Amino acid sequence: MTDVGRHPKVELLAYSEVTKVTGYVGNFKVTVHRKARFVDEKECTACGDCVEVCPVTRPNEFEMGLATRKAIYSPFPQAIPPAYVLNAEDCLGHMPLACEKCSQACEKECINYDQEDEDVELEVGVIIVATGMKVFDPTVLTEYGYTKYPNVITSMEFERLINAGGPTGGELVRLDNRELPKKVAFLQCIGSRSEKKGQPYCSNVCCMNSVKDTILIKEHWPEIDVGVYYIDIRAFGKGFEDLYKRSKSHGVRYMRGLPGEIRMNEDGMLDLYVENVETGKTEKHSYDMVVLSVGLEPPDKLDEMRQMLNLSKTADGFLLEAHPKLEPVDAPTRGIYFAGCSEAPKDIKDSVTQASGAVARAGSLMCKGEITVEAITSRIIDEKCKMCGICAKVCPYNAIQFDKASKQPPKVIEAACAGCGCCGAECPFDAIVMRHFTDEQIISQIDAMLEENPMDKVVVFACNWCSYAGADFAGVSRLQQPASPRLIRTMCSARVSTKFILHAFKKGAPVVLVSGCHFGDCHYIDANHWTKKRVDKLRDQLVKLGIRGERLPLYWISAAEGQRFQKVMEEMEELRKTVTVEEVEETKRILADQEAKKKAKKKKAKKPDKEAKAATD
Amino acid sequence: MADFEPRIVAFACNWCSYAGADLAGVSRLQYPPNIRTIRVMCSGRVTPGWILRAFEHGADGVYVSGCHIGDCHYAFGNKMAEKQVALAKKLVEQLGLEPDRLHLEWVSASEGQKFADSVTGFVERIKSLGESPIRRKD
Amino acid sequence: MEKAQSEEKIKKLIQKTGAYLCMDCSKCTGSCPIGRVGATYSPRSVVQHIVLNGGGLTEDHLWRCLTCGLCHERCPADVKYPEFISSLREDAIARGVKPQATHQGTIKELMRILAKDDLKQNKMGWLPDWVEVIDGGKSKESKGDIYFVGCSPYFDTIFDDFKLDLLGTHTAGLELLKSCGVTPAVLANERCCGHDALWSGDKDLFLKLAKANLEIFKEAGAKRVFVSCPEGYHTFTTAYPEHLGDTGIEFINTIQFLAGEMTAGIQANGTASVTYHDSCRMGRFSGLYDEPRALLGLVDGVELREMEFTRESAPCCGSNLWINCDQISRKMQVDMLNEAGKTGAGIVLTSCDKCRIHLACAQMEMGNVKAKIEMDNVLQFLYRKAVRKS
Repeated sequence: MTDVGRHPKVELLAYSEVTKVTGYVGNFKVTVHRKARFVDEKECTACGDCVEVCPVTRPNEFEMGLATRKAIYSPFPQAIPPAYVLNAEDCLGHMPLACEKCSQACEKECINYDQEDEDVELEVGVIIVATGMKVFDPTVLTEYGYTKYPNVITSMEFERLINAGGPTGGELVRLDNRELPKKVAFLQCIGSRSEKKGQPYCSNVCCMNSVKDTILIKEHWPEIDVGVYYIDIRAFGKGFEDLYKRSKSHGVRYMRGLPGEIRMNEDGMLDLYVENVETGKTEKHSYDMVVLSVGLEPPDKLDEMRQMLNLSKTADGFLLEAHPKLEPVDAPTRGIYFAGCSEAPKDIKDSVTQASGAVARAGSLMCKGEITVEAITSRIIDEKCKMCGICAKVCPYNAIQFDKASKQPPKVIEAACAGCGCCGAECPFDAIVMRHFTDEQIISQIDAMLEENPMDKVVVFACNWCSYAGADFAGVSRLQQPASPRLIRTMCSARVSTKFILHAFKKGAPVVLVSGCHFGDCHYIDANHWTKKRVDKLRDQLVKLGIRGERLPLYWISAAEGQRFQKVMEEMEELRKTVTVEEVEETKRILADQEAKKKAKKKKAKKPDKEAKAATD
Repeated sequence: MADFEPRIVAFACNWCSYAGADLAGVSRLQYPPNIRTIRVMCSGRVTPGWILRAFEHGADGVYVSGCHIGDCHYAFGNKMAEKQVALAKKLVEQLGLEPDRLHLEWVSASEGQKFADSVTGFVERIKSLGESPIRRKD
Repeated sequence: MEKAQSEEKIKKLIQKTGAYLCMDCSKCTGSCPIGRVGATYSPRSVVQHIVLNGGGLTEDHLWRCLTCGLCHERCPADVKYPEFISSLREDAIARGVKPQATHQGTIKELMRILAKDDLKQNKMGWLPDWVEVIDGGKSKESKGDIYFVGCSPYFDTIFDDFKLDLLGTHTAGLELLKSCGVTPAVLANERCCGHDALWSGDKDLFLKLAKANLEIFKEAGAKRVFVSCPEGYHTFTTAYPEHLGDTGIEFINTIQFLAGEMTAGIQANGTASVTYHDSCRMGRFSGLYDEPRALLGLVDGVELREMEFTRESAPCCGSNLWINCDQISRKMQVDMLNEAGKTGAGIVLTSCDKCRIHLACAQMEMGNVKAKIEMDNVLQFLYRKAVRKS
């Protein structure tokens, strides 16, 4: 932190919050709200005179509530910047002045009650999200008595007790009588790996953290009896197994099986009711102190930050990376990278590794000064545009700038456009061209497919990242499938417009399947939500017209679901067999009727517009 | 009704009632063949559960017999039988069966005639009550 | 053929209850109340036996479980153990294993008779005169509202010497409902709900009882059925739809209904400090923790003192399904009564009369219950000890 504070090219904005982010890679505008600390950062020498006279006492957040601080305080020793901060909510009053003791004590006169919050706008090229995590609050696990029994503490509280700079100067004491405990138990997986209370995932760090804690205890007080109750000990990293063995060599007892309950007995000892897995009997193990190894959770307000930056989250609540293996530090949105627990629970080494990666990725972007993007982007034909604003609304990246009041057609920011095609599919006026996946290109694929024996074919629209890959996987796995499905690849299922589907039915397709990524997995954040809306709406319309809705199924198939893809293809083949020639002919007739009605309406409304057919670039 | 032959389960204690029944037989005293006797060491062994089981399996009547009060081979077993049969009677009545379908009689080893007479009377009573309402198999 | 069928059933059971997700963490065993008082019982080991070996259970494994649900409550993998063990019991009985029964099988036999087709019971004579009793045909006055009594009349006969006034629970329930403008009719020939048969593995008996009950309800035109017994309520709302499909009848828990309707304060006859026991079928199984407390909170002069372990952590009353009763049960009952005594309250209230029966049995037989504490049902307490403010 000191290096960061001193670096000439790093501006550190402490006691601040990001409140708004607009723009795109290379051209972000970030608004930072800087809270007033009422202390001049440059002048304060951290002498501490103000702290001595302040009358207000509060629980110290850094010390996990085990110690107090004043209303004016330094968040923790060696905080950067070293200036103190006056917490406006804790202070007896700075407007009007109620106390003033701190400014009177300050020799450097650097306490200024008139300081105000300010908003700063920064022009930023690249953003790295390193928002960290918080820990699980085990109060809800009533069986363990946290907050009921004083000697049941969390691993975070343990860290402060054993820390030489902590509230007890590093002396491990029982919270009820301040004596050294004789027996300490560690309970693992508290709030992790649980379908009920807490999170279903493994929090990565708690096993090794407890192993480390047991060694700290044994090195200071070898006479303390230490027991660790676990489901698994996950010692997967470099040197981890070695540390685990070292802990055991100190005589720390590792017992598989978590206690069901903790009850305090008459002597004030904590009884753990736990199974002896050899005999199947429930035993009572007594301890002075129990440390709950709490799991990691996404920090508060991560959702707000996420929405500001247009990011997705994974099922665990942390931020979604662009690719779980090949792009672990990139966000799907260009110009944003992840470091540390913002992306998933991880320990210090992995956080630093990931941060180094994020910085390298960011650096390579910045030093070039320009970026090369894939040519799969959208282009708006200004002459056809009726300025309805739908394209700007559906873009998952906010890559289309549109201001209705300006009466100008929207502008696509190509650096931000990822090429999902949702805007192109939603535009009611054919005013958007999707490069490399134009309407003409796709329609001609449909035509080619249904030119001969359309009754024998199933038209399948498959998205590039999931469904098409899933189909490929099925093929490579030699899974036998019927020959009737014919695939058309689009980058995203959101590219599939109603035009394509209706064209396929008009050309005699018995079944049209639209397939994309599962919700939450879409490569283009949430574009597949529009796919569903569109397909469901079209299906309802078809049913109203008397066309069977089952002939337009929508399936989410991921890249790993080769077997599922095969099953779905078999289903489609069965479905295709139920469609008769008469039914298809009837469908063609119905759709032709509809089109004629529409044309008649249009003729009444405006002049023909046939010249403005979109051409490829 | 004339063709109806009741099926009655009888519990008889080893020391008095079963011996009494034996005496009736050896003395060639005639009584209806509708009872099927189960010997128990003491009438107090007969639980309400057994009585209900008999009815559940289609018995039209249950006849429990033990030593006279004060003569029980196990001191107070027959007192327990009294209590248990009383409880069973209440349950039987609540279940919608006529409480008379359950009968408790003290019969000593020498009372062969009493045994024959009381069984005859019980069978007639059951005949007049008819088939047990829950006799039919479901 | 039977073995293969049994194996197939067990595979399905493992999927349905999520037993394959068991992490072997043994939190279940650590939570099991019979384990804590000295029995050797490990739900973890039962699950592992079945998942890894498909069998190998002892009689103890099969029959000791009280199905109180504490294990499922604490299980991080959400393995549905009570359902798991009762299905294993069903499988065992199908393969000829003899089930267990307390009280020399009296109550079991009683329930078997209650499943008979041509049954015409005579058990409702104790009801107040103003309650309509339907014996065949539709209700004349109650417009589809029915009050389900359950096995209380029979338990009242069998446990007469406990002096629990089990029938008073229902009189109280009916009076309280009347005060809210609801006057359900009672069905003379209603049967046992089948709860005990179901959880002890006698699926056939459960189905017979359920079908008989549904026929009787439908014949009477039942639309709403009020149930005061938590076991009955849970069975009607969960097991009946699961095994027999949508009943088309709304089953309502009496206490839950009253908690929604009664909002005015109730004047008490003097003050009382009470404690409340969350019976398992009311609490963990049906989620009704707040409703009884809300009702007690309405009564002026009543102070509710909570025991240390309540709600999801509430202990089991030690006996269940009339298949378990021994020293372990006793210890649990004594512990529970001692916990109730520790609060300093003069009376422990519960919504389950079965709990009351088991605890009363313990009070009568054990001299070492430290606290002399009274027991009552929430409904009776509300009705008898309090007079409504007008």
